[in-house]
Amino acid sequence: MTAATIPGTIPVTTPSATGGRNRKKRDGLRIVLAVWCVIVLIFLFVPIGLVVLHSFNRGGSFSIWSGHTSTKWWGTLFKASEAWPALIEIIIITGIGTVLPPIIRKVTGWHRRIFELWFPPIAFLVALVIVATSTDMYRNVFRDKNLGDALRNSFLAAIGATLVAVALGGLSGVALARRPGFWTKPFILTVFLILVTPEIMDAIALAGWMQRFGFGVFNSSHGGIDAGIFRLWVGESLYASAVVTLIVRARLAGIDETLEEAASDLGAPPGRAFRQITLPLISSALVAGGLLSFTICLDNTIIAEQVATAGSSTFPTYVISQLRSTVKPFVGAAAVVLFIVTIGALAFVATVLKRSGDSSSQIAATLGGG
Amino acid sequence: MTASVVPPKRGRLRAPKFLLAGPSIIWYVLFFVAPIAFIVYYSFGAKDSTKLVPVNMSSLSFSNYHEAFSATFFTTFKATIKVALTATLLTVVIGFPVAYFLAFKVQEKWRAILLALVIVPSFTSFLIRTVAWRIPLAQNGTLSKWLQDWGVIGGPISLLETRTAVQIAIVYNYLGFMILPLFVALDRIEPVLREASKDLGAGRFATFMRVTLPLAGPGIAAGVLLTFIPMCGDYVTATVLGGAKGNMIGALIDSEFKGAQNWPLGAAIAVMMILAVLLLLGIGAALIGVVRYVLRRRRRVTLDAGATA
Repeated sequence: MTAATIPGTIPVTTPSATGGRNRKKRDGLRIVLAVWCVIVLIFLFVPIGLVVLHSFNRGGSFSIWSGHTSTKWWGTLFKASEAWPALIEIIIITGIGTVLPPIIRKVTGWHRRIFELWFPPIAFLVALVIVATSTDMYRNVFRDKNLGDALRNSFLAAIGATLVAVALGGLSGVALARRPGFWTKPFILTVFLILVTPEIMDAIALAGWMQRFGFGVFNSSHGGIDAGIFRLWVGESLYASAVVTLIVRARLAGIDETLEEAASDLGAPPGRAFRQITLPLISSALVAGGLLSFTICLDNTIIAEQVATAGSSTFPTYVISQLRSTVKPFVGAAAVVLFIVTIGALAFVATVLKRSGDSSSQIAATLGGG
Repeated sequence: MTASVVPPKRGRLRAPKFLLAGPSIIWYVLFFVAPIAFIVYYSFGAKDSTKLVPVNMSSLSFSNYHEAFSATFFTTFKATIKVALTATLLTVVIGFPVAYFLAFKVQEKWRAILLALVIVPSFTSFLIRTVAWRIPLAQNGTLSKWLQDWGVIGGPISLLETRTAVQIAIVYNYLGFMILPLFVALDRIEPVLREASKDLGAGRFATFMRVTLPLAGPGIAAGVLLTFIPMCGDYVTATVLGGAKGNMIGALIDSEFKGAQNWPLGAAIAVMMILAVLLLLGIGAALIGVVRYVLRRRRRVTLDAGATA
């Protein structure tokens, strides 16, 4: 410090000057890359911005901008008198689910990580179910019956497929990380094949398979649920369970089995060791994988297009059917709703992973499929 | 006392965990392996519209494959592969600088935000993102109006219902799925390795070519697998934006199954598509192998020569 203030500064400033020049040179590349990054981000976001903008289009077409804004298409999609209470109901129940665990922790001192992780998403699902039953499965919320049914089917299919995917992927992820053996290689190969097989192949194969062998499930409705929804649960669960498998395996890969062994040495039966040690370890991976599956399933187009029946057409299949005529702006409005749900789910994934100690790079790795 | 109790308990713990994969194995065999095996089987059959499953398997033949090689199908095949290859190349070229910037040139706090911004569009509805491209690409659309107002082009553009539209939208749809694995691969490179390269006198370009790029290889491969294969089967983009001119192989398979009810032909096209994709990936892997082998030979340093010098 004092050396720098001494008048004879020539030997001191020379290295700092070259350092400055080096930094300037590096900055040049950095600026070019930063500009490129911004351009790419604009490219990525412009179409999404256009969807939001055009959902407020006053004209009768989704793709041609009329020059005037209007909320009339939102009004065409939702019945305000039913939609607002439903929305408020969902927000309140989810909000309670989010703040309840911390409050319980503060008041009683009792806390479980699993409880805190799972309560908010489960509250959200419960809210969806409560709203669904109180508004007759959303039939009254949406003015356009076909679109309302399509959105309902999308959510119903995605929730079921996600539950299947979390159960299957969680179990097989644990097995892969803990009991590798002769079966690991073919199993991992199958998982990768499921991830990379062009979806159209899976889709036609499953459609044909289900038409030939109904198993008493895929060709007739049960308990008020259309057979097509069962088909979608199976079809959408394949890719999603592969994703969950990889995420759970990656989570357990860094942790050896000493904890489980300690539990069993202390006399815990396998079921209890699994419940109290393994499950908490993978719970953040399960929540992240589950929400990721949910967004993937919600968006699934190709499998839904081939596998779904007339009574179970989802939002994407509805949009495809609309493409043959003019797409109305309320399709954009419904898409915005789905955007919000997806972004909310992703934000929650990021929070869960961050709380379990992941850096942003690790979160990106998780979302990129391990 | 307790020590004698421990071993059998361990043994009990070990057995069930392998079985944990059981449900998934059954699920995948039942709903992935078996259905696809049946598709391969159907591809040797003949169409029979009278049945619930419109396939007649009484005489097996390769006739569907002959038909799949006919001129119309082959043109679509070539076009699909061309669109997918171009799009994969473009996503690498566009995405690599972004991934590089995110991995090496940005502070941690900004990195999280920028990563989120890259990820979010990729996970919003694929279909809607594609439909959104109808807005700027339409004949009287926004982009066309702007470009005319600025005097960039004379008349209205007519990109919708062309292969160019499909090409643009495919690059857009898969860009995020390329950037993510690229970023993960670059991010995993130890900074020490790049610093060592610079300390040993390598310039920035040499460091990039000899250290960063080879280490990013697995990421590029993962990105190519995650984008190229789905692109080959993608028909949503083509259906939404391509019209008759932008037809892709996935749309052909779809129309054979749903429209024409010619399952055997659709199955044959699907099998051909998978084989073509595998062949191309094999060629790509072989090329990379050859290039690496040549480079390694050229750069090989013989230690004896160094010692005698």
